[in-house]
Amino acid sequence: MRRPARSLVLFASVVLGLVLSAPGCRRRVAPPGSSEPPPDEEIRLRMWHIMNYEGPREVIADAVARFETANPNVVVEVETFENDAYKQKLSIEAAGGELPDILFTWGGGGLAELARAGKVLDLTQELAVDGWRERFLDAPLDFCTLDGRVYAVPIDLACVPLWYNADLFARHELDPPRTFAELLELCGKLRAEGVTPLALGNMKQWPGAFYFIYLATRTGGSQLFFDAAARKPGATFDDPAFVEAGEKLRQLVDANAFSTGFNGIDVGPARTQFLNEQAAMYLMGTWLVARALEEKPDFPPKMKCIAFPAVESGQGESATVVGGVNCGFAVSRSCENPDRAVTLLRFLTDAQVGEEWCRIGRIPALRVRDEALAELPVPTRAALDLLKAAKTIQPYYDQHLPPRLAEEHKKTTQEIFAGTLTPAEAAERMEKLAGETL
Amino acid sequence: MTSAPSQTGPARFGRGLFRFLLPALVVYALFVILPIGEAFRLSLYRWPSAISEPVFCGLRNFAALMRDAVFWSALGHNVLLLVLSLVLQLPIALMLAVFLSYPVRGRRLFRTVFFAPMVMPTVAIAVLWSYIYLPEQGLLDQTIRIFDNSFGGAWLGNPRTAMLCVFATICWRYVGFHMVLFMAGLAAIPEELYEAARMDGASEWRAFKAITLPLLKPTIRVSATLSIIGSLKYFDLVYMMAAGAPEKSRELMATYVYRLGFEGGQGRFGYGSAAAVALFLVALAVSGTVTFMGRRTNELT
Repeated sequence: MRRPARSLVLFASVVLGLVLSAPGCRRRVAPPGSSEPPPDEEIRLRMWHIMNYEGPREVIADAVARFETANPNVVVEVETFENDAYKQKLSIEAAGGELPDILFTWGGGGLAELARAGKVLDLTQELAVDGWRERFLDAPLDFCTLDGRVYAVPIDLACVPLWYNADLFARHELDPPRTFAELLELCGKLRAEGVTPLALGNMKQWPGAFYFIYLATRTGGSQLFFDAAARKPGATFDDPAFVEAGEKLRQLVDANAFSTGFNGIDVGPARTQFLNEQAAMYLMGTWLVARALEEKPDFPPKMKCIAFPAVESGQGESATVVGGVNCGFAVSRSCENPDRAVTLLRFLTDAQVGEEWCRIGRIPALRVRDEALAELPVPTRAALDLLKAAKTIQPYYDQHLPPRLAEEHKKTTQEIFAGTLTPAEAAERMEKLAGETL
Repeated sequence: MTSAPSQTGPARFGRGLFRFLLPALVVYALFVILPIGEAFRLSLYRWPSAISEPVFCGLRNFAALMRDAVFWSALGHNVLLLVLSLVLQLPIALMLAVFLSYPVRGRRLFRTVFFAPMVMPTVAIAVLWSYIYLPEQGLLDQTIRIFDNSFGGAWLGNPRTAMLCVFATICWRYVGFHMVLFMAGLAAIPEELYEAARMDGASEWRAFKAITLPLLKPTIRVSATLSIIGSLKYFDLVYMMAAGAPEKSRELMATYVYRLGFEGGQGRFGYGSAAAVALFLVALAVSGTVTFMGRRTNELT
């Protein structure tokens, strides 16, 4: 028997409430913005994020420390979580619990849902002050914008290029594919040589979803997805373009293009196949570079990347890349010191963070000097070039759509991979749920 | 101390104990009984996502659950797990226990090794077995490749095999536990009975059937009850290992309940609670039946 989360939270808060209401404990401060506490009173800001690994963790901690030095009466309590655990925690706290003052976000649908429910502060006006807005690249800021209002500030930008092992390609005298037909042909050749064409570990469902997203954006264009998600007339998730994307996916599965048993293996073993040169290509986010440098430092020089191949008769731009914000911060509406929280966000997105972000090998969502960008690892810089060449960044479906539809997208796509749903059935199920929930 | 002096000793003692039990009762009420009631209440609400407001909808969630193919597949998997643990896991455990009741060489070593999976953390087991089942490079496929060089099984990714693979792991994990239970039961059977049987010229098999099995009955009943209840509420290895199979091939009732409520921040707490209530009722009905049957056979013997 699983206990419903809300009651757990309720009981916990009752117990906590009893403890905290004891005489002398902190009182509830007046509604946000109405009165600033005297400067000598200690202010606590709670902050949650998931950048819990070497590199980003230190850069964030450093920015927080600089903020604390400049604001001696403020203490920032940072708590970090693991990715999936954070998603769960956030949804539970948003439902009935207490959100932290500053919360980590990927932008997109999750942030939009919080914004619509009035859980996060509108930062649009703040961004106009001191040219803060100009510090950001447009595309990542768009991911944090809903109906023209900005609800979060992005730090990290990531995209998903098609990585390939240039050494292996040269050894077999092969060229990277430019079109889907070339990709299919290439997969056949690589299999014949005993090489897995595309490394894929789809146990968690999102790695396989990249293929569907790319095939759909190449076939029907990104706008179709945005319109279908916005329920604009004429745009639906059972549009022939989505069905065709599913069929193209099946063609790859039928051509034996992916790692054997891909649905049962996790991301780790799939990455190992690519790094150990058992697989020739890998469709994965730019975060792969840091892992590759760590796990097999001699491998990254062999890593090259291209944009996902074009679909011959498709409507979509062949330069569009799938990507998104991998780290951003929003301020909770329940925050008692929104001014301080916003100031912390300014520290978290200042020039120093932007340059440090490059130094740790990640693409900043902030504008930085070219010299700083030159510090990025070579493969990351190549991916950044693809990003710059793209007119549109196609968001990951599971971060743009509200959580339930996002799960449906991942589940149905995985079933197309498994062959337990036809592309048409999958599209139908997506459209049905979209009609019910959007 | 308000008790009347006329009260007898045990009654007074009992009343005193009640006071000591009270704090535990409060904790249980707060964290077990009330949440069960809360789940019943929530199951009557339409609550499509964490952030939306719950709306009362009567028994609609249950009506939807009855039409939900994934829920039925999950229930089916629970039943399959239950049957497999009774017809595979317990006999294997019994066999090992009987073998180890003989003065075998290295008896202690065997016992420790068979029991070891029980003390391993579940996550470690999940990772270990995921690598055993890893297509092409895993231990299983590498072994098969000795005979068929091109073999590569999808195992955990294949809708037909995913659950069975995980069930095999579950069996492997719990066999040692039941073996130890049986060994304890066997130790309680007086050796004289076997000596008498041997004098009467009974074979080992005959002695097993006529002495061991009947006298081990209470232990078998405990083992079976634990297996039945355990397989109805089972969660962890299935959740971790079968995640890659399509929805209808990867869920138990408990994993489904969890995914509805929490996975990817879906927050379908209303519908998830309905599924949780269904799980509760199924478990209650089955364990009630098992207890009742146990009591009846106890009375008969």
